[in-house]
Amino acid sequence: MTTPDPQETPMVRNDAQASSAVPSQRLHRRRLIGAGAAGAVGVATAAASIPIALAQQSATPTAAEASHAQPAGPVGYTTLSPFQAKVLTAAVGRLIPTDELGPGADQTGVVFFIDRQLVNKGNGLRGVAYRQGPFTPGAPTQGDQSFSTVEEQFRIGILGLESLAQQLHGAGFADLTPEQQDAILADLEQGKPETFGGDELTSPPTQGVVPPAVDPAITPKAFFELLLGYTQAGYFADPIYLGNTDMASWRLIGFPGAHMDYAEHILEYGVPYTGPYMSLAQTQGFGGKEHAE
Amino acid sequence: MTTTLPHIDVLFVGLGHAGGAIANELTKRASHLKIVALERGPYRATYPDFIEDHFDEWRYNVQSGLMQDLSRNTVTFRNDAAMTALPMRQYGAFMPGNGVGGAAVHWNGVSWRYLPYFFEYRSHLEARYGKSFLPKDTTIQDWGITYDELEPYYTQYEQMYGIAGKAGNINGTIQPGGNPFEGWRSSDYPQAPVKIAYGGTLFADACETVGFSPFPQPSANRPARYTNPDGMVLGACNYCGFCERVGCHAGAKASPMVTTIPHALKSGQLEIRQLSTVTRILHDGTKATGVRYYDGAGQEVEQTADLVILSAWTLENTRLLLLSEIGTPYDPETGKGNVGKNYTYQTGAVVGGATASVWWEDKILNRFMGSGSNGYSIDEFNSDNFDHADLDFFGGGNIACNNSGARPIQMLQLPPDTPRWGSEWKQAAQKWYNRSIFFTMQGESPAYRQNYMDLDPTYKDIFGNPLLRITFNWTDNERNMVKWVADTVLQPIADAMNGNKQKVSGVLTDFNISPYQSTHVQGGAIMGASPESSVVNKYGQVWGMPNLFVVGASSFPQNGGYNPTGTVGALAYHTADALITKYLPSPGMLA
Repeated sequence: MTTPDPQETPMVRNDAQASSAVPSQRLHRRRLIGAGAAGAVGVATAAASIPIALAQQSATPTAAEASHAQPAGPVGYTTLSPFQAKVLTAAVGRLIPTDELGPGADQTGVVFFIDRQLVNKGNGLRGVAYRQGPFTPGAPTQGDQSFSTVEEQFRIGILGLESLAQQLHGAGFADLTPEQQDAILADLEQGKPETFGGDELTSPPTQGVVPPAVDPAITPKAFFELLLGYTQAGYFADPIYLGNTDMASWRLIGFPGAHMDYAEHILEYGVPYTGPYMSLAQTQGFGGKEHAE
Repeated sequence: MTTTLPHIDVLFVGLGHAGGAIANELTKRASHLKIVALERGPYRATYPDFIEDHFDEWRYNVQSGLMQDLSRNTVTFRNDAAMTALPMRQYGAFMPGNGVGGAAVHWNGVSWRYLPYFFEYRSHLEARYGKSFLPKDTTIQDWGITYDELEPYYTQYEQMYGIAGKAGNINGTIQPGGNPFEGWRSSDYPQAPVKIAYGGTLFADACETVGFSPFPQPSANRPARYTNPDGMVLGACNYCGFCERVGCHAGAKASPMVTTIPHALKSGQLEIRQLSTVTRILHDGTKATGVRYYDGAGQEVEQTADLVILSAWTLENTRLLLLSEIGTPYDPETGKGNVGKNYTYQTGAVVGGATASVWWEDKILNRFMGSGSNGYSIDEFNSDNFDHADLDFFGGGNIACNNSGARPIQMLQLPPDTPRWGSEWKQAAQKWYNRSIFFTMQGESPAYRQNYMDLDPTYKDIFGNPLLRITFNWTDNERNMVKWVADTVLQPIADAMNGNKQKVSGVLTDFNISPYQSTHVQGGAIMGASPESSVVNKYGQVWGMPNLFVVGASSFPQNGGYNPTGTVGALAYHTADALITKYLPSPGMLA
């Protein structure tokens, strides 16, 4: 039996030796990045290593950190219409509001995240879906049986939100007060109304009649769950997916992000971790101050 | 038009945890063999796929990046025969892998041995409690193999994978600090336990307060670099908290992709054909002759072979036997036939089972640090380690606090009185994310007459072949087990933690295919002592078709209160040894 050597912990050497064919350039870059991550506590600039315990008190990033997460060029919607984006921005901003704790889903790119997930009609929330028919409503234990793509589910749900706002208050969802918006979302969560169909789907009188939704599986309750699922995912996913701008959600809760190595810290029981917040953009070498200097 | 390729010696259908182990042993000890493995997915390994990557909860954990492509093939599901089964359109209670290495690429690395008496479970329970003790619908059975027979192969598997842990029983002598209930082992684990995160130690302290005996959960993550008996080097774990559903960036999580499969490839005897989906096992009723498959270009190919090893995970093993009309399909009405019989799962490991959470205002847990198998366990309430004479159920489970990381989309754990959205939710997320732990029973899943697999009459895969249909629900036995364990065991442990908030849950409702629960899916091609009660013998050899072996958890007659992967590994090495020492010298049914 091989005797383990407890001193052997450096990640870089282990990785290299774990493979019989290590591309040398890859290894070289890996060494640099690995060293950067492991040494971050000691060498990172003060701005880049706000202790997580402190960060929980102040969710606002410093300018140096914010620069890491900025897209290089202009960002726009690729699948959502401006109208749809406006309704969604209002809705996600109520599910995860901007408040004294910091930016919410409306200010951290979550609608851009959703927009990109709808490209090519979108996967499901849990990945590629089986789409062969027949589509039959099932028992609650049998999972989503909607025949609509995720893009279509959002289209129906957004229109439904807007219809409810028009019916109840004679104004668009995005123009309602936060309290009115919350009340509509709370109804959806409770399954009220039961369907987005027939009379529920109305638009401003000057725009004529919108045909009712054709997929009975897209109920208000189902759309609420879809929306909450994508909103939380976009809020907490890595910023490379365009949500979670400046890692704001991670700063709020104290999740450091894409770190490769906690081997030196895991036994520091009860001690707040003070390493930097890291996006995959940084582990990939984009804009990461920790590695660039 | 079907292409027919030149005959070969050994053909693997699927190359993962079990198939990789057997293929590797064949290349080492039967150097004359020409071996081909057909794998429906790609070859993904530390280099170039996982290195510096996979710290991505959205792509891998939520969007199921490494899993079987459900648009090509899924299962249909119903709770009972009165319902119409519908497709699992999205993940999903379980997550079959895709690609070389199979589900063992994305596993967590919790690696157990089953308890010795569990291999003779029906005999054991009937001897202890009498024949009328078991529910009449249960179809649990003895495995046809004993723990003593399997022990050398558990050891071999653990050394190949460098399992880290603390022995509880070496050759019958109880070892302090280990699991006092475990079966004898001929030697200690190859590696000492991993560095265990804070949360696990709080659980262990509480267990000791209550009077239980916690021990480090065995782990295929490793505390230090390790060289296995084949000379394959595995890295040390960095405790990055990204194990489950992803590939390991450090080559530190044991899998076929850092042990058996790359080693087997070095021999030059093994050819892996990626993106090749087998649709039929060809046979003449008494002998398998090869397989038919679609290659990556959609071309239909026939490959003949002397020996066929079906190692395509529980669901595809069962489906291919049914599609190929090998053996007799199980009929739940008559109890006749064995293919598809004894579908079992894992009782309530994540949702709907016996689970507990504790929150502290004054403790920072650093939950994001961890590894796939990183924690303490207790085994007092597993299986029949405790007296069931006065209880209304049989079975139990391992109880553990595992610190596998804290990815925020899926593992943000908030107190039960928290709203699901709005500013109050946000305040709770900030306050509690890093101040809680979760522990759970990994419950046993007995087999029942009414829980089984067959071919769906309606839904098809991308090639037009019927999907596998799963009919499954929990019974009162598991509901009673979950409630009793939650009330009697989890509640006092949670109380001993002295948290500010706690939640203990023990309500098992109808099985639901939607929320993730466990990827421990067993049965369908079960093993046993005779062809009347099983599809394969103790070597995984199909009764009546001696050159076809079916390996993996499809052979489990029922599932224990542990993760199955360690036992899949041991059974694979047992099969490999029998192939090399018994079958190849004298092909035929093995005694």
